[in-house]
Amino acid sequence: MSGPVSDGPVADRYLPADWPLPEITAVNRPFFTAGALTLQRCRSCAQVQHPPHEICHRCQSDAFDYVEASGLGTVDNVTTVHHAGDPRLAARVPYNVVIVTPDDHPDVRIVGNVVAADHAAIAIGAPVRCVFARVTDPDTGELLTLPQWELR
Amino acid sequence: MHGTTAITGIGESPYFKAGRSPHSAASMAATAVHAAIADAGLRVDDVDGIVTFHPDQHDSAQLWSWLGLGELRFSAKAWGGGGNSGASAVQIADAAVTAGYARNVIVFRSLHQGAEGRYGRYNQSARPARGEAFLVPFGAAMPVVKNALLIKKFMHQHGISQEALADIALASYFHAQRNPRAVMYGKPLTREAYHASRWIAEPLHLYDCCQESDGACAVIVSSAAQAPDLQQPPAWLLAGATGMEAGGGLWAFNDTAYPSGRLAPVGRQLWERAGVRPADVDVAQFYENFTGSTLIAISDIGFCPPGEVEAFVSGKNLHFDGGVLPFNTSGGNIAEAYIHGLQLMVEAVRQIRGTSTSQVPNARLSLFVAGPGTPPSSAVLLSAEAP
Repeated sequence: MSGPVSDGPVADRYLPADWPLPEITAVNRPFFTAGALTLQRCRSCAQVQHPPHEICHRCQSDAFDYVEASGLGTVDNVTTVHHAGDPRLAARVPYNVVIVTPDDHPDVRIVGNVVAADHAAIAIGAPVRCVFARVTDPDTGELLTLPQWELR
Repeated sequence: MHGTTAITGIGESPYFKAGRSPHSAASMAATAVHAAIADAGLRVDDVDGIVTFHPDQHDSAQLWSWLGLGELRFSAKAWGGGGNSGASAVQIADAAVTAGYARNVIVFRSLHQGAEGRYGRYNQSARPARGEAFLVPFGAAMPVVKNALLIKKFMHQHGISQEALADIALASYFHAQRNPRAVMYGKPLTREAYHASRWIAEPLHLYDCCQESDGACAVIVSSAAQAPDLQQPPAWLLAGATGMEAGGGLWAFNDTAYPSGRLAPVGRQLWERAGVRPADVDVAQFYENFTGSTLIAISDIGFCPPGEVEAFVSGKNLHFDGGVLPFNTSGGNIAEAYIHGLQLMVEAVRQIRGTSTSQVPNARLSLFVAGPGTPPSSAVLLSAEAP
């Protein structure tokens, strides 16, 4: 999936601009650049696995497709972080970290953040939708689309 | 296994709050290792192997020569996530001695968090790769955040309240008040102070988190042929176990164990090898990076179902004086010191010798559990009697 970035819903990045971005590799590029919630599916056994990896944990094939999920999900888990633990986060606490299960791939867990919501409203079981923070990669100039979540 | 080896020597440096030790990690390692050799009544040249885990400050096979030790015959490092591997390292030493590759193997850990960076902080500039690429950019960077998520889900699934976390912290501080070596000696904790302490990452308060420490400790694993003739009563290695479920190593909370179960395969191995049941254990040291991790570990390894763990740890059930399962009797990671959990192995040996500051009367079976954070996890069971 190396085509143009699609016009998915957009949000600001939840964490500060100087907070680390992922190292982009061949296997994780679709997740971080597609502009849609994109999961790795084994071409041999059809297992969907996340995070993407060089080989399939079910059949060990190294041939994959990248499939677009609906972007609708459910909060599986949430914590509110109050202690910064790094100077770059000092102005951002308290912040939330969630684990979301996509409604169409309930066995997959995706770590992220819920944007623009009161901490008290982000509960286990809350329905969410994927939105994307567009960030230009400071090292390569590539446009990244970090999946974030909003309550629905 | 089953009595082919024993822990014959233990040694420690003084323990400090992170950044307070005037000595380097190498210097503290030397203190702990030579204290353990002397404690066993061995000569320096009797020691011929070394095992460690998570050696971020030094290559232990190279450090060997600075420790002034003789001919090296065995060295290894336990894989895995940080403190989860502490009991694995002892199990590897046991396997090496049992196989005859070495006669007396040192297992040690030395850390100076003042020099190498505090474990509770992130402070990395490289872009996260592999599994971390799916955690760090979203703020799941510090260990406390990842563990808060595991613990939150475990509590949610099993209806566990904040009081169960408090009970773990309170038992640790209770025992630390009896241990002059503990960093938190002289600083008792009340339930009110626990609840009043600030949030770090919900559901974890300040007192739910282990300390950040400087210090070193070491144990010596010796062959059964030598152990009875050495200086100390042997702490016989009844069983060791390392493991995880199939799929337990998958990244970013997509492992099959989530949020619990990481120590279940370790428990199954351990009890089968030892030929005893959890209820037979007299005293236990659990690696508590965070209080709630211990709730997961207690149930995973087989002491009770997860839905019963809050009752299991309540009241004085974890106290050395009459508790159902005397727990972290030196104060543990939370209130003694965090030497990556290996200081819990030292305390497990003291319980067998009868020399703990919170001694369980007639302790015959003494357990050390490392985990359940990043798998694989591990455990070692010691016996006072030669099996």
